[in-house]
Amino acid sequence: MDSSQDIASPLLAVLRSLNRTAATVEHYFHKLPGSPILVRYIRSSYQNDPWRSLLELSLIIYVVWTFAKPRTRGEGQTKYWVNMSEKDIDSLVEEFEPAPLVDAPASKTEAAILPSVPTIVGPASHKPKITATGKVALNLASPNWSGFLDNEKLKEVAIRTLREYGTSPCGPPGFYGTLDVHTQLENDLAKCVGQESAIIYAQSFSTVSSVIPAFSKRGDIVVVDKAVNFGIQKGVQISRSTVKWFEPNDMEDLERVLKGVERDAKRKGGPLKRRFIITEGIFENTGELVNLPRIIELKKKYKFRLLLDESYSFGMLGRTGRGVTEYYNIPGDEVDITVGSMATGLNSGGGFCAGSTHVVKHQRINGSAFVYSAALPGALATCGSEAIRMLSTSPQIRTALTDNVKILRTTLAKLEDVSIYIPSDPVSALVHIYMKNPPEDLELEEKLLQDVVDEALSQGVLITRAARLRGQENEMTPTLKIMVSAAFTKKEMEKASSVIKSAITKHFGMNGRYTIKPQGYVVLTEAPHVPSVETIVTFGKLPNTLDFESSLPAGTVRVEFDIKLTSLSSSKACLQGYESQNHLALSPSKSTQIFSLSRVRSVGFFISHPQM
Amino acid sequence: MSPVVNSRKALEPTLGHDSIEDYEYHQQQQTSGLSTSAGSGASSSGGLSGKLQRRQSQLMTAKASFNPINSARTSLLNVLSGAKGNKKKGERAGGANDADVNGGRDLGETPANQVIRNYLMNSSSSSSFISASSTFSNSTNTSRGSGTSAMSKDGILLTPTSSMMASPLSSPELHRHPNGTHSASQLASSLGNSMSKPQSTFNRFDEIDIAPYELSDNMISILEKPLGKAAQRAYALSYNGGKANQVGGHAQDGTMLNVPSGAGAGAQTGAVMGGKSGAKHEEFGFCMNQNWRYTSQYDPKAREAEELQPPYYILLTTYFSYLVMICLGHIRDFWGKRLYPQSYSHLKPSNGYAALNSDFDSFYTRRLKARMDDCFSRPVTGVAGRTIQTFDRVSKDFNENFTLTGTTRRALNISSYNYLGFAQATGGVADAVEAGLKRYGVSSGGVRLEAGTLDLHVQTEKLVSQFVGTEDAMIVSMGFATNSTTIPALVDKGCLVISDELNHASIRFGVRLSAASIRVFKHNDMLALETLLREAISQGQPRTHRPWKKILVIVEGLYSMEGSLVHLPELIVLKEKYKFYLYVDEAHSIGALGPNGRGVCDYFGVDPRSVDLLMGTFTKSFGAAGGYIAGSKEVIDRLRIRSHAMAYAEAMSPLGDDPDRGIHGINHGCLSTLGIGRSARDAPPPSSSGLAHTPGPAVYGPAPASVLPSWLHLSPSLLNGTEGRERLRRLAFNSRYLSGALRKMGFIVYGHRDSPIVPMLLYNPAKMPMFSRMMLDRFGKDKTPIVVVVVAYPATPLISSRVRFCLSAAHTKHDVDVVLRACDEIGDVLDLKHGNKVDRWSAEECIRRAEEVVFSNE
Repeated sequence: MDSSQDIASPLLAVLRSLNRTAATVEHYFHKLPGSPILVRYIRSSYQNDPWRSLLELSLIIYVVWTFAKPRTRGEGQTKYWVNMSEKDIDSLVEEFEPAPLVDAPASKTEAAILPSVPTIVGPASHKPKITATGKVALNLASPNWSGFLDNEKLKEVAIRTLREYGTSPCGPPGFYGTLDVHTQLENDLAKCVGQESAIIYAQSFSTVSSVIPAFSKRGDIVVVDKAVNFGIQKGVQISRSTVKWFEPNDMEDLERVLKGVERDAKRKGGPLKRRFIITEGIFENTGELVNLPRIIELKKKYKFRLLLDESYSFGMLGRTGRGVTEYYNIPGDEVDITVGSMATGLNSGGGFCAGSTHVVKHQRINGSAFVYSAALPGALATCGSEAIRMLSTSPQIRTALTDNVKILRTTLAKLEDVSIYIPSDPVSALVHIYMKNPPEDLELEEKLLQDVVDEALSQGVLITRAARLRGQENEMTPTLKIMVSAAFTKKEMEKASSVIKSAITKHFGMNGRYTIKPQGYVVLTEAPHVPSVETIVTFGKLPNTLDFESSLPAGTVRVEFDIKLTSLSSSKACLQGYESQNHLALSPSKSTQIFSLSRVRSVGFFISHPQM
Repeated sequence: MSPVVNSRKALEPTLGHDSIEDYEYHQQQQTSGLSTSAGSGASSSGGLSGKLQRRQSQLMTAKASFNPINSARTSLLNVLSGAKGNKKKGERAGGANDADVNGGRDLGETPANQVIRNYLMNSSSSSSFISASSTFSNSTNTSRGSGTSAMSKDGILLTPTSSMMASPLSSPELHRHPNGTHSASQLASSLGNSMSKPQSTFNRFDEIDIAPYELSDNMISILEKPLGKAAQRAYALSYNGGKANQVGGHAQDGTMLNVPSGAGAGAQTGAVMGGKSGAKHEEFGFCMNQNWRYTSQYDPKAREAEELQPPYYILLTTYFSYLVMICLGHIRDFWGKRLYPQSYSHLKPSNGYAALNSDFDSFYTRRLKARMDDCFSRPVTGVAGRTIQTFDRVSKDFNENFTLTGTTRRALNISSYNYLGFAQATGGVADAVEAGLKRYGVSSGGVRLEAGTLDLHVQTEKLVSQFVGTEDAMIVSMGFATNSTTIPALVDKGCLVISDELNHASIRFGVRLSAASIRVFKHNDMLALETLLREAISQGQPRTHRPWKKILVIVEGLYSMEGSLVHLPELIVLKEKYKFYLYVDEAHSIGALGPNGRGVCDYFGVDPRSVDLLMGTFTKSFGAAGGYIAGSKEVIDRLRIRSHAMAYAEAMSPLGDDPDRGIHGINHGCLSTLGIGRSARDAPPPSSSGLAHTPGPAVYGPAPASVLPSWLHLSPSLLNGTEGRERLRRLAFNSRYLSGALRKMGFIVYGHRDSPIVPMLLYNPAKMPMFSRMMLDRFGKDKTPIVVVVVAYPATPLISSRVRFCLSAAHTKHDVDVVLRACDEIGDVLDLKHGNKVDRWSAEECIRRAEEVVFSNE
């Protein structure tokens, strides 16, 4: 009797097929090269030490498990994972209430931004026509240092290029987007800033935020000025490097930080890290001028590389507009990486980065805004080249610019340290104006600045308030931003300066000068000039601890007026306590009044004339 | 100098490769020839001499034009040639009546067996005419006068007859002779006869070198600005296939002729081509065959092409190649660092400075990519249209540095994102850009929120929102920055971004800036997305399990490396269920997909307002610069305040901005596809609410004419959308044709059938540079150089290196044929055909059965 007969027939079939499979596997296994060696190895190792085989097996299982498990953190089931049934998930999905895609405007001022943006009819120039007024205004709000904004020569060049190169290269530089005019512009730029080589980006804003992460990686150290522009802040953020900030343009603080970095490196040891100092030529946010000679000294001393953003200084400073290096008479290649803009200085478009051949070559594959973006249109490239040529051949542009800046600064000098504060360097054509005594309330401050802008525009001068992205960047004080151009004649510039001056005077309260007395009451010593419908005349910041007169109840303030409020009988004058947002009616008959202001930190006189 | 002899001479295969390199030179030479040959064409219409009539056969094509024009041109050419010191030409073009010269055919240099090269050269010769004429504007002006008057007097201008225009693909035997020795006279006579005989050979306009060029020459001369409007109109009319008397009649009342009998579909094209948009052939190919059109629209019945896998040996050899290259690279690094330390100085710490670049990070670039650097960043010049002029360059130090040899060659350009072919230096769009430049200059002066807002920006934004079908839109001066500066304004901490794994770098850049959490899902896999969504919503934020503030799903409409289309209808369904916000990056799909060219929403018939944010760029289809983001007014207004670009980036240059291209370019593209003030006939029925999933244009009504600035003058065909639609349909045909035919031929092709991006898989790394070089140097019979884009890691997975073709409406079927033949030849040599094994077609078969390939919905 065969044993097979003892087994039930269905099982037999299974066994047979198993047997056949095993035989096939064995057959093919033996055919594999090296299989006898493997078999012999396993057999002998098992004989010598069965535990070792077990260990080896568990190692193999561990390796397989390691490879099989998800690589990325946050994916798959972590220890925070909550097991849920499909039904639970469905109900959670049902209940999911996302926030709206965008939040509502946080404040009235924010809501008022868009309506207040001026629209230019026709070409942007130094004297554009503004939609709101329907009139031509002197444009001190566009970076137009050399007056190339509506240059006929550039237009001509652009049209000629258009007819030869079409409208767009329609592709990234890597894929047939590198035109000969791009190469030409790169050479021109490199020569212009005194570097070995240059690379152009399609947008000036994206240039620096792409250049920084191309070089500075995680673990590298960047020492950055606190006042740098938004692009640098974002570039630093995306590079994930270790960031050390130093006080704006403060060389002593910079040295302190550099020393600290050096000390840290010595203490921690480890491999040498890439270290960069990142700063700007003319600061976009303040108009200050970098102390380049000192920085170069420091960078050499502490072995840092310098990345200098000349987006605003290129085309503005120096004998032929080549930027800070020319201004200080320092060879361009002392700066390791120069970033600049063709959009501001040359009034064409795009940005560039110049440096040694290695610096530039590295970006051609690692500069994300270069690699992943379409190339600059040919016409903008030729305009850039032409503008560089015009810059170097016409030094009179620089003289005109310097003169115009001087006119503005002399006019404003009388206000400085009285109602305004100007951090900008006297040579800078970019002038930022701060309020000397700003109200605590940011919104109010911005509103005031906007009033000045509106006032100036109504007088035919276009200036602007620096646009900010609060919450997305280093906090910056609100400022008025004025950009001087060489295109203005002396007369125009004088007119513009005086308009700005009077607008500031009016709204920042030069005429209605006030003083805060120690006891906590405000005395308006000069009569304010009240021309417009709603004018905030002036403000004072109350001391934190108000030393109230004993006769006054706590939390109140006494205000004395010298102005003859009788003349305002038909109007409403009020004292505003910010934070409480209350408008308090001021009786026109009395010159001294006592108000109760809860949690007031600043006061302003808000006088409105409905009939005017 | 008998024309027949001349033409034979022309057909002799004499020229080698260098003829293209000497391109400029030829241009000069051919200029006179071609234009005078056009003069001979006048025999059929204008005042002909008997001598000319005898040469009817020589006419080649319907390139009839007027003697006066030709004589004017001839004299102009005299001036030109004189200026160029071309003695030969000067002699030839001696008298105004001396139309003997047998134009372009008379060039001994013209290689007969290289048809396309002819084609390209000829077409480029027309460009030289243009440039020449603009250079010598005085003489042009003189000639213009006579030309115009003559034109309006005779009013005839003759080109292909109506029968030709309407011809179906009736004459396959007329396809290009493989050896290129199509007898010119035979062809010519057939074409000449076609003016009287109804049977048509119109195909040949595309198929054959000669006809289009001379035609184009003719066309350009007429469409060129120097000729008055009357001339243009007359030309357009003639093109519509009208007979001489008809033309005359209609020309008087100054309207565009409605094509009489027979012209049929061709008429529209005729009008289109006859408009100002008629352009240089090297920029925009001329194609009249209405069979070679297709409408890009979602077809639920169509089977999606499967992604085929290559045989294992290909995968093994690919990995092995990388292994060898990596080993070699390390060996070279090892010895290099010891033997040539100065070449490695930037990779090593020195003098207390850390290495500028890490040698590990740059290893791939230095040791792998550098081997094929000659295939990247090839310098070019001129317009990136249908053809492109590349500079030849050599490297003596293993691609470390390149030196230009000083020669250039004109190659067929199947690489630029010029989907609609609007990147032109001539034609209606370019004219509008010029007008815009004249008016606005190149720069808009500052930041949008400060003083950089021009009325042109506002108009463009209106136009874009109208075009895309959303409430509002905002424009940014760079496409990359549109993503990278907007996303951080949308999401922040506590928000989740779910992104397709193959999303563009700009999206990743933006998300990284935003501090939002990010999760990725498998490319285009809606199931994976749903699983991920369920997980994200149910698990909430990591650790705290707090629900996400909001979830933003970011996808691309058309993926630039894969050619795959987002599954939009499914996404919309998911969106309704899971309440996420949807951001679609239409950088490549806008202007390239959909029956109206409005991107994926249009393609799938989805209401664009059901997508929260639609982002797109102007650099591609619209041939301008910059990008836009469109959505509801509330969202866009908020972005205007919060987006980085609006507060800190320079405003779009009038050049890049287009309310009319460039503020010009873009607009134009939009406009033309949009159809401003489109006639009632063309306008889609207005539907008040475009519902999702209803096919067809829902919210794409014609834009009111007020959207356009008043100074902008566009040709009617651009305005009413005819031209835009024509281009879209050509693009769709080309796209389906190339991808379908390549699949039929056995290549592994990724992506959607309707995608204008056609990635063809190469796998082995060494095949990339070889493919690129062989396409450029063109091994094989037909030596038209072709420029292609090869992409590899890191843009693609390591294993699947590919070549990426980008089709354009500027390409003709003939151009695609050339690409197919080239791929066929090279594919055999490089062993690239690993796809479809059954029922494989040869290149010639694909070419013959092109319509079948395109219209089958497999």
